Amino acid sequence: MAKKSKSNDEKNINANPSSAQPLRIRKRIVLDFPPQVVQTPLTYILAKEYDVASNILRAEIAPEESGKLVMEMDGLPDMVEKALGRIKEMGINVTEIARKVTFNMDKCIHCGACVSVCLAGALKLDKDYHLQFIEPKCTVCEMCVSACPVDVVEIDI
Amino acid sequence: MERTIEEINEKIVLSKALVLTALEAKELISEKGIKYFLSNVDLVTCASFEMLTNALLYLSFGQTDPLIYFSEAYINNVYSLPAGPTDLAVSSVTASRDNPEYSGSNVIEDLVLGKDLQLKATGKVLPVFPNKEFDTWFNLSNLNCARVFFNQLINQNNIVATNSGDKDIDSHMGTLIGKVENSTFNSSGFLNPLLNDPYCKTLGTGTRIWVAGGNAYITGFGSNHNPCQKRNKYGIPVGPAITLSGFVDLYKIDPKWLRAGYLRSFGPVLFVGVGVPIPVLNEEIANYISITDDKINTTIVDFSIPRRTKPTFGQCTYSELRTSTVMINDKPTLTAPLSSMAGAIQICNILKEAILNKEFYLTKPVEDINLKCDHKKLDSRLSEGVN
Ligand code: SF4
Ligand code: SF4
Repeated sequence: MAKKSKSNDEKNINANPSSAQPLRIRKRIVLDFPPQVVQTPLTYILAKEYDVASNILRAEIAPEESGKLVMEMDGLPDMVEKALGRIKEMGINVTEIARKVTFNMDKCIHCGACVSVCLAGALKLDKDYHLQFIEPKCTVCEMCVSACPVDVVEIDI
Repeated sequence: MERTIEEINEKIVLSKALVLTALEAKELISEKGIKYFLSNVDLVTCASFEMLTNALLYLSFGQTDPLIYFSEAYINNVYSLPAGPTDLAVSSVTASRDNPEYSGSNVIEDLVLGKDLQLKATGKVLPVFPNKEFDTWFNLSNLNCARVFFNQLINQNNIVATNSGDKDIDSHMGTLIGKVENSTFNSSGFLNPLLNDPYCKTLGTGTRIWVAGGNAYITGFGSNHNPCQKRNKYGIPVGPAITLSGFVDLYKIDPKWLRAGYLRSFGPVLFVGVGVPIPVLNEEIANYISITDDKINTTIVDFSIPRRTKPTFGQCTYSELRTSTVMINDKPTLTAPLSSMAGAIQICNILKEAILNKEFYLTKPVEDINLKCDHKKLDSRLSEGVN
């Protein structure tokens, strides 16, 4: 059950809600395996040593041949970076897929529904209450895509 | 200082009325005081561009040859209820048979966009109405009448939604991230007509209003009307309270201000622009118009429990909410609106222009809004109906 609390007029309301905990990011990558590393239990290593969850989106691997893997990594930013370094050390060629969200501003009604789910702080309403997208802060978590009621946000791959 | 609606209308005719938007009115009051405002300003335009969850579209078609009496009909595959031989009613929340994300809301939007829609109807086959089936494409210009009835067009105040559970919840208040990570609210605050006239002193059944650019009228109180909600010392309710219903003719609508939307795990919604002129009749009304966001409270509700009575986390003001961070259970929490303030500000200006251009006059309500407390709840009754 939720605790009841009194009105909180005097408290500091400007504290940054996203500073408490670093946010997980998602990265999509293409891996090209040389034949000798195809057998490596990659997803196990990523999960165990880096707490990075990996979601395999496409796999073209045959035993004792080279292979290709498209996967999504989900983890804390520095851990994802370290994991990527480790993968490269194994002799696997890594290509990042640049994903980004784009806002079709002609359709935007500036309601703010996307702002409420952007814990990364990449979406704001400016002083005239218009939506502002601060792209460098965007972690491409994609929460805003389904939060927008009028289909303004699209994912670019 | 008192003035009447008739006097203000005369001034509009003579281009002598001083009209301000709610935003301008509040700035003027904080600068020059209530007395100055009361003696100089005749009229203030208020607006909302909020998310609505219920609407009913009513369409009147002409007769077919041979004649038809609709028995079943679909518009763009959305079930449409026959309401007379050639009349159909479409609920904004009925989904299409082949696309759960296309609904009656989209039918309304497509009509005002001037798009062609597909009608598939079957007839009852009666002696005078022998037509068995009728398929056609139509648009707004082929209809004899197209109007939308909104049974909850204007909402006085709303809640702040948050979620203390572990899992995210998709709701009609947007996506609520677990562990009180975010919160949402749906009100245009100090611009909202019912927060500028909290006891409906100038509004009532028959009051002409601006809805998405079309001619619209208030038809009385609406769904979830709860006028006896607790109020703060300024007379502002601290949660959902008065609601007003209204209908609008679709013919003059500007599609910019009527937008169909879809919320995951909830369904169809509509964003509808509403503009309401509030005449500055006397000091009491001037005092209400002076109320700013810091004097408008709302209640923070925990959605983690899907019951009628939900736990609350106390209250906050709209000025706190507008900072984007609000304290909930001692935790700074991200908060954002679901209703467009930018849109509401623009509507205030459009309505102001329409009045100054003598395209819009004030109407006196023909009946007051019922402010008696009678908010009923629906409980199950185990015995049979008693007649
Ligand atoms: S994807 Fe959307 S919600 Fe996620 S960080 Fe980027 S802008 Fe914010
Ligand atoms: S939710 Fe969609 S319409 Fe609303 S502000 Fe964000 S992008 Fe614009």
